[in-house]
Amino acid sequence: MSPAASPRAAPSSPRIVLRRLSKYFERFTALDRLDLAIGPGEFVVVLGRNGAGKTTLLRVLALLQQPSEGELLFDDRPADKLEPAFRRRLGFVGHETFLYDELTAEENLLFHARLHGLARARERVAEVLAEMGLESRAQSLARTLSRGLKQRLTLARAWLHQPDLLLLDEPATGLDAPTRERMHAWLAGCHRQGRTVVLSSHDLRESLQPATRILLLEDGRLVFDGPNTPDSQRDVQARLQGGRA
Amino acid sequence: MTSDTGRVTLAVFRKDLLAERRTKEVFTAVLLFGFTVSVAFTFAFEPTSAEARKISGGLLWLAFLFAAVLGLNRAFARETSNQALQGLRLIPADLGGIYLGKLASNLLFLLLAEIVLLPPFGVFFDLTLWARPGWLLLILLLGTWGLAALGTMFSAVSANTRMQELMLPLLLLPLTVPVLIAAIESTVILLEGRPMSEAALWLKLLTGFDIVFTLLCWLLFDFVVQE
Repeated sequence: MSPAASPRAAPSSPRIVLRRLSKYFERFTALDRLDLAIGPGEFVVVLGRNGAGKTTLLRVLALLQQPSEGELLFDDRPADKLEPAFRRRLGFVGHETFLYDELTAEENLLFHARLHGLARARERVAEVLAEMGLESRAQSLARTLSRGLKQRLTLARAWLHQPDLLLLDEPATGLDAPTRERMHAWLAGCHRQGRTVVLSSHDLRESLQPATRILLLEDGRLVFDGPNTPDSQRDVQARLQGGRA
Repeated sequence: MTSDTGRVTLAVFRKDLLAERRTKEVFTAVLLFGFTVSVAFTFAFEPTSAEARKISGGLLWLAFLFAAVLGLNRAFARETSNQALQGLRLIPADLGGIYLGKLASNLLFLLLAEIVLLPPFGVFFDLTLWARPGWLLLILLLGTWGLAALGTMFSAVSANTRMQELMLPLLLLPLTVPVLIAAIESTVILLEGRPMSEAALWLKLLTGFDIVFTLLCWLLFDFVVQE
């Protein structure tokens, strides 16, 4: 896995601002008055225990869920006022694969390439399959792929249109250790190209390597926001293990 | 309609054709269910009586309707498996194109199944169905388009509910009454060999219904698939 040199190798990632942003599901508060700014080209890791609000935050940023209160701005424009074309700048990997089991790996990617209106869709699909090490499984039905291979195909789907902003919700799920390392190296490559990466995880050790910034969520509240330094890691580790720094 | 909408429509249509060619789940469900209902009607009514022939238009469309509900229930099942519909919400285009693509594929699958069902139905009820094939195909197209236009929309609505299988008929059946009445009346006029000018009003009603509800569903689809 390595982000291939491409015509869109110099992206302009959007500046993201959240102001007093909350998200409720009936009486449950998933996100609680978040104030946050993510600048272009940052690599942010969102940490937190299960149910802390990581997935909701990622889905709100991917425009798949609307905030209940507060504001979400991309380049100073409210998210609900953005044109559909803006979604071209987003790539999202969630808990579900968004794949069609009855289509092959190549057909799944080709479908998404067409939806995104990519020129030379077949060539681009072949490129991405090679980047993710899936060339030999291109003609395999998605339902026959292992969990790890499906996750690589999901990453390929999100990366197909070379988005400026990658939103990844626990992307290492189902990947073995070598593939996880390759994925982190690939993400670091995306980051070096100037893309913004926001990645969620509940595992401190596995996710911090390429990150520049750490966020920690607890019960939907942002309780830590700092650079990825050894001190920050210690603080976050302590909080995740139940104590308070 | 923008070129983005056209591109998305075509992509969804091609994807559905490919998936259906591989699984045949919608076509097979519609065909088997439609055939079973036709056989049941044959035994429930005396098929050679003049009375039965008069109601055969109604029976034909009831068989199509029940079969269509079954097929349309499957139409969005593909999109809910692995939450693929969420993935479609990430595309950089108006989401109405997804509706148009699904409508086109549903219409094609239902029409194909109906065309296969017609000959046995004609034999069971001793009907001369193909005396005026152009008119028959027009009635089939307009009636099925109406069912598919609303069915595709409500299939998307019910896909997001817990009682998916029950919700579609509850939403669809009351609203398709005008389509059913117009399609049945037109079919009866055709089967009785009366001049098709008598069916003009019904065919205009079907065309109007199809256009209005297709446009309405296309415009509203974006809201339906939102969170």
